Amino acid sequence: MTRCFAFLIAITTLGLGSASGATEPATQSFIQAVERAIAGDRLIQAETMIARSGSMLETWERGRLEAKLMLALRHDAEAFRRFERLLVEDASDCELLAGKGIAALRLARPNDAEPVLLAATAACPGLASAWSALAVVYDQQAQRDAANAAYSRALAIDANNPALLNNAGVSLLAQRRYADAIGMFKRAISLDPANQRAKNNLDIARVASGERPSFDAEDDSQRRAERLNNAGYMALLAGDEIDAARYFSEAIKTNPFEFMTAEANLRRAPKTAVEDAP
Amino acid sequence: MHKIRMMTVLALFPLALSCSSRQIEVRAIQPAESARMAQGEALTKGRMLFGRGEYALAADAFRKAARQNPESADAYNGLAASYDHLGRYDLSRRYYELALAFAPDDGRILRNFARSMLGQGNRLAARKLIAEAAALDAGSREAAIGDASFAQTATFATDGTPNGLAGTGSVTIALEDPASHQRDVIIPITQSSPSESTLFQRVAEAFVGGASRTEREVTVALDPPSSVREHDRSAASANLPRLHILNAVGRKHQAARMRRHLAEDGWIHASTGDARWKLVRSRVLFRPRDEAAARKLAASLPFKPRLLSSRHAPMLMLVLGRDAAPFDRQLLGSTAS
Repeated sequence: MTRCFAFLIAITTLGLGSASGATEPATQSFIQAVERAIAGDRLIQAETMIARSGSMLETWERGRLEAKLMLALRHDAEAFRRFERLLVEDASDCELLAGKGIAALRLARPNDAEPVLLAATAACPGLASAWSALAVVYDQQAQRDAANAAYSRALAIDANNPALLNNAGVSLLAQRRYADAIGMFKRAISLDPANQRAKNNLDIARVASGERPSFDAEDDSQRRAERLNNAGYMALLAGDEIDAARYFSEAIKTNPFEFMTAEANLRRAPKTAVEDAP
Repeated sequence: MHKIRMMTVLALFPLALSCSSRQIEVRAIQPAESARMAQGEALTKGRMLFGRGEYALAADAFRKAARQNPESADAYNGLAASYDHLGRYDLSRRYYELALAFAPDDGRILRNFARSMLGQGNRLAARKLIAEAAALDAGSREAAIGDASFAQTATFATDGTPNGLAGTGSVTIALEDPASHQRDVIIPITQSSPSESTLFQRVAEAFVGGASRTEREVTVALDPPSSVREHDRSAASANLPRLHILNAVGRKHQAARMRRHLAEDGWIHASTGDARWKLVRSRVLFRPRDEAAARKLAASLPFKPRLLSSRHAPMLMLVLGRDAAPFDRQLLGSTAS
């Protein structure tokens, strides 16, 4: 009887041991897959995977993934809370620091964002997202030199990130360095031709620099109208009312349907300019 | 009476016994087995229909397979690929993601997803997905794992896009740019992959012209009615895209009459709806790839609609304005006679 029990215990121990050994790489692979999904903006995938992970993930890992998902879903307040809670347990984790900093930045709390982003970049100088977020914090504080330096560090790590190039372009646009901004937006568009933000910003930079961009290549009439409207608005800001009215009129004509935004903009343009417009 | 009762009890006794016998325990497993078989059948049917180019019917079959096994990556992958072919990228994205949730290391799903992204003009996302698939394939080649079930669906072909940019870091930020700060003056910037609701909302907004409106003022049917679905096959064979006819005149049943009229010209796969606003001149709104069909549609009409291309258009749309009313009177007359 005793022998039988001992045999059973040995078998059970062996079984449990081999089972735990087998699940470890599987769990690692699972975590990597969720992280890839979040990085690739496949948030339905990430959410589904986390929801069905059950007991596969430890509480800490699960919390980490959930915090990252919250940030990707733009539930910034929730993400901030979760990152803060996780940092109590491990204050030196760069990704958690960067996550908290980005969430704080999005919540318009630069005073909370700056110290954690500085800590993140100090601990992990190779983390482009932390440098990029820090650059935005400096941009918001009008610390142009610090922003330029942070963007340089971020771009040195991740030179082919269209979102980063676009942000750097916006910073240069704010500094009235139009030629440099145009260069950044062009690079962003060459990497991501569908990036409408960068396209719009390129139009704005071109109009601001005195260029007259052509929108003929845009085969989508609605999008062409949007870009014309943006160009008109920039011309209006630059004080070029006649050109602004021209852009708005063309936008109204080009848009497939009623374009109330451009019509409102055209009404804002001084009457003389409106009369001059074709 | 007593005898009848006794006989009934005697007849039911073996039945009751059989209920408690071991055989019943075995039978209890049967529904699960039959469900598996039914799911397999639905998948096979879906693949067959997909191979024949009958994507709407294939989608139905894959949807059935997914209902029978909500964790079937193959069913979601088939459903997503079918939606791609129907031009419903807004739906296909969701199902590719669900497929990947249940088979995250399946390079075939990633490549199909990449192909879908390319179809939407999102080259960057496509490149990232292909790079991810290539990295996974390299890993799986080392492990030398084969899966026969995947070979069956190899007809969901991949494209020849070269591998390129690797995925970016695990945390990325997207910032507001100057354009979106001036939201009430400059229209909001288009997202690269709008969700289903935002896509239709944008189309509705485009119709009414206001960028800041949130209420939907145009009723756009998301799915064709079941009677239209039955004709999917003939529409696919005629190579005509789905058509949505909107009544922007206010004449009762005008869109339905136009649908009947256009069905005679081969526009069988059409749905109808009412706009809450009025339009003077009719319009044909089309995605750039549907330009030929849009021109064909415009040429077949006795009035001259404005032809307008837009990537935001969820499908080919005919918006009937006041200039379509005389023709509608004719249609009404012919129906009455």
